[in-house]
Amino acid sequence: MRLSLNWLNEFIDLSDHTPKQLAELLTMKTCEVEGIESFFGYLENFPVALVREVSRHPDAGKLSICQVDTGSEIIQIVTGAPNVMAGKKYPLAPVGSTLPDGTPIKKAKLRGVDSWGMLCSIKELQLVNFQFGGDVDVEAGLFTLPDEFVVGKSLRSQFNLHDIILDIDNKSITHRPDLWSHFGFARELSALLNRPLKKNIYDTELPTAQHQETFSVEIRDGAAVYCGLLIKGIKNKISPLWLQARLLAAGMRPVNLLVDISNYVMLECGQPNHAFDRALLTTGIVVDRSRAEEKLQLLDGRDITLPEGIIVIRDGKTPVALAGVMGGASTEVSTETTTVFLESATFFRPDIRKTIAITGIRSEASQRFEKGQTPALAVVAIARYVEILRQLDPAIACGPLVKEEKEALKENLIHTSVEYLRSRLGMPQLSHERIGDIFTSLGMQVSFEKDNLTVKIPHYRSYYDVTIPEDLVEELGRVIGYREIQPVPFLVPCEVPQYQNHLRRLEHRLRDLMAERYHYTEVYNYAFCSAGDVAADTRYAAQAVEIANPIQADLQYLRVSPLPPLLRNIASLYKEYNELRFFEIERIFLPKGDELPEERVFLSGIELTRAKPEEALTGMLSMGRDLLIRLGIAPLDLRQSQLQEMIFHPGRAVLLSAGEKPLLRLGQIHPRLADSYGLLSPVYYFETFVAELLPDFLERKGRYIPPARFPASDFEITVLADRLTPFAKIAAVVGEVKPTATDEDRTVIEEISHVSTYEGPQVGEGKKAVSLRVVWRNRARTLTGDEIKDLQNRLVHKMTRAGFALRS
Amino acid sequence: MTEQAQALQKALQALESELSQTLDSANTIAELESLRQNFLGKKGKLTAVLKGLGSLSSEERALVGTQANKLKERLTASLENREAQLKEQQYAALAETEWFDATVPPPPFPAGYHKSGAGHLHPVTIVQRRLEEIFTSMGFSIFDGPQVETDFFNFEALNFTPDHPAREMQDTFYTKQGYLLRTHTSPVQVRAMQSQKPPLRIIVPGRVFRYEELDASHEHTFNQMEGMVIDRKVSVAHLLYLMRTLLKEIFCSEIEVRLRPGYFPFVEPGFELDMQCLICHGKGCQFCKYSGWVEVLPCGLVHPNVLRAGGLDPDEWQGAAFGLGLTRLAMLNYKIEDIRHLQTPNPAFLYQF
Repeated sequence: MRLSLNWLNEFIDLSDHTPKQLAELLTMKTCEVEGIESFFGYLENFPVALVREVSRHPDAGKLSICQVDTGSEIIQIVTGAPNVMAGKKYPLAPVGSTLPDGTPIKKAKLRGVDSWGMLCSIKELQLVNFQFGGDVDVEAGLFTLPDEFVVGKSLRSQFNLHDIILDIDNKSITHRPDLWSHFGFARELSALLNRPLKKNIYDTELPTAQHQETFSVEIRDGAAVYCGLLIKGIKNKISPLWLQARLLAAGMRPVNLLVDISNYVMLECGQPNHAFDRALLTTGIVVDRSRAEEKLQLLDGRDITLPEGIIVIRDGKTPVALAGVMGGASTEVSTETTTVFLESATFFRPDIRKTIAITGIRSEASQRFEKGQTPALAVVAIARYVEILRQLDPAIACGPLVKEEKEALKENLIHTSVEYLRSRLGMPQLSHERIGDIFTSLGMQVSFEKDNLTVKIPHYRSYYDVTIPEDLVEELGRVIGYREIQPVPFLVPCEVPQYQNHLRRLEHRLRDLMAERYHYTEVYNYAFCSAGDVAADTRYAAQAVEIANPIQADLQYLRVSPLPPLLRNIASLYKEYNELRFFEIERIFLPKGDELPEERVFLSGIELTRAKPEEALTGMLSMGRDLLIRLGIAPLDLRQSQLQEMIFHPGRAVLLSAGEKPLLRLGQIHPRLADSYGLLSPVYYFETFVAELLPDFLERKGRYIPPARFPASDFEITVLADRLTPFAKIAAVVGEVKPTATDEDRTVIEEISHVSTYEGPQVGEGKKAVSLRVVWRNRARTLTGDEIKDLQNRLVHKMTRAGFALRS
Repeated sequence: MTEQAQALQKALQALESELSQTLDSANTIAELESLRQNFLGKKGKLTAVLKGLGSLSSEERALVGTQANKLKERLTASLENREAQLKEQQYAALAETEWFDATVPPPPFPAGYHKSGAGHLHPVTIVQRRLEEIFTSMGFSIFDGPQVETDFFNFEALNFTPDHPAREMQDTFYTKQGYLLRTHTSPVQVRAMQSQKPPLRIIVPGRVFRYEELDASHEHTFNQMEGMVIDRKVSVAHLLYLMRTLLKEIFCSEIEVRLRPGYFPFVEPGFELDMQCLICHGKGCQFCKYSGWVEVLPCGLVHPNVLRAGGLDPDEWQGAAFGLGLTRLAMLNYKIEDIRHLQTPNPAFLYQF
């Protein structure tokens, strides 16, 4: 909202405050001031000039050479404007000035004739929003100024446009319905500065009736109060410039006198009101809810079909206005209008919000009603309208006021205590007097009973505004100024243990490991994905949560898989980089019928590398094992198995489990899937769910085995097997790895490890040679040479018997 | 039709039947590619045939030209079909042809092949962790909440009226089932009150969503951090102390702050906390829009309706709450000029943190 300082000064003396001081005061105590603007300030640079003589340009028929009186000298200006006449006054843009559009004015030569400046048009001065009336024609060329203007004086002074605008952030006054007017801000400043108002709009007197004609009014639904009055003998025309200037200062455009006064009154006291052309009304006003499919043409020309149940103004049965939002075209005032029916009513906040939400139509009026205006203003607006109109045209005649009221005025009573106010602010010294003074300055009535107080809130702050003791804390705090409050530390209670977010601790541990140890870089991806992404990986959910109002068509679903965005990340970069490793810790959203979706936190990573697939897979596998072991999973519990899942290459994927519990999946992305994301090189991926890692992370079950005192014995053996025989099958022949923690006299297998696998001509087609190492140990003693020999022989025998021939 | 034109048409037909005969014999992608070059390449058979077009009349040229184009489309399609077929055959065989023995225990990490360069954490993560450390050191717990929320927790419990404009589709993402993507981390205030015993001190860092078109300074997805204290006596003076300490810790120096009124439905009184601009030290510059102050922390005392929604008695318990833009703070901290970098995985950006 834009506030004119001149206008404010009509209600309160602010002459001892600079605009900057006022802005600062309001910012610290009331609302946000976004800017301070000089109203048409640039017009200072354009003086009134008198054209003394006009002669034709010798070489150009359309140009005129003017001798121009600037008040201090006579200068020569060449103009192309057709309407230039000797003896008339025009705006002058002197050499060195700059037009509002940024064009600098320089000394020029037009077809050989010198020109010292420029005479201006209305458009060039950006004054098109004004209605100048009379002979002034925007299109005619130069702006012909009134004869009474003084040569040499600035246009701003001659049009009397000296004003400063404070630009208020609307969002910061959404909770203050009383501030949506100049009077409202004047009243606020009167409290903040503790000085009286010069004038109170509530004191405006209603006109006495000069005729008895009325127009009937009925509220069926949707209004707290409805006031109306017939004004006769009207001549509608353009408004005087001072009135237009006020509207423009506040950000509205002049239309015609009757409409302009309506807007003026609204900007001044906050009460929207509307003038109907009486001649175009027939039966009588009814405030009522709309029925479905009713039609209405609005003032701005829009045709709307009404939904059921929003508040309209009817003339008899016909809707003629969208209540509290916009008038209708069929009853609009015009230059023909001689009698108006002036409406000023109070509509309810929820109804207006509903109208706005359904129709999407917003206006200055709806902006005020959606905050909740006091019904006391309805009659004030009528009184002010008539007062202003009469000042401009004493010939008008008013009828008696018609008023229907459905609700008594609200004035909230709030009970609280001095102790409460002090303790909530943290100002233990706050005195009764100061509290009382501040509430009184805000128009509240305070009565103390020892330490308790009852505060009566004025009607203009009783609607959706000051309703509970907490609101009083705010009123007190902001008027005092929060600067006065001394910060005090919390005294920390420790009666209940505070919640510990172990999941977060684990997430951060994972992040550190991923970045520092495994050299992956963290990325953030959106929660949204496309239909194609959903179809690309249906392992966790076949269907995704769908967004009703997606911002883009490809962001229509919530992620059901960690993979697709990571694939896209790599696809956008893989041509530029030989190596990329990204990880992400976020959530996927798995639909659960009508309930909120399950949000599962994942850790996933993707790798682009030019290493050979076997190396890359082995590398990722060793990373996966390392990760799980570092999180507290016992190495002996780790199981590796072949994984078949839609996203993975059918031969190159591994599932890492702890015992029977699957924990981490990794492998090469299926080439078909990679291809569909535009990736032609192999990419590797792993994925795990953080909550599943948590129990082991917290318990750290990793088993402790005391260091052994006697040496182990190891043995390497190479066997031949079919190419597709898993290593685990060969290792199983050796036996079970079962290290022992006790010093019992028992020989056990402590480790079976893979040494190498060879495929090639020396072992034959479809075969491979696998070398493995077996470690035996007895914790009670050193194994003898014979025992070792025996263990080795038995192993060789078992292998042969299992079909794995020995290779020497 | 001229003889020449007829001859061309025949040649085209011959091409088509020749390709369909040889297509099935191409058994690898490479063979298929050479077939494509042979027929459709720049020096291929089709180009050779089409050289004859030049000598035709313009009408005939148009006719035969159209036929040739259609033929080209058909040939391309059948080549692609065959390619898809071959690929599927390849894929089907992958389990055997490219078998990796999943059961071989790998060598201990680091594995055999070289991995260059350490990884990096996301700048928002770094800032978030710093804040988590500050607050946990002051006895705060870290809470999380769902990102898909109910209207109750996101709006109603936070004292938004049923007709509050923030609920409109132009501001908030809704799911088809009628849930919404949380527009702030504040719902967790109420969830924490419901699940924990007071007194409480919590922070809630997390991802939030607003219906915004993307540009250099607007994102529909960003990170916030909520903070809340519930205790028997909570005052503006307490809040002010907490906020000052927080900023001092974040910026590692004494920060000049000011508290001014601000409106949010879930606090009463509500404030905007401004800190003195770090760039101009209060003198006024482009960054602070020449005011000398930067808005950083909306905060306030918890509204009694919110306490009630959390199952607490406002006569017994009071609260203070604040919100902090994590994304904004990270941008401020690192002087990141464009918010879009944060959700675009560009190594040139990410490797700097």
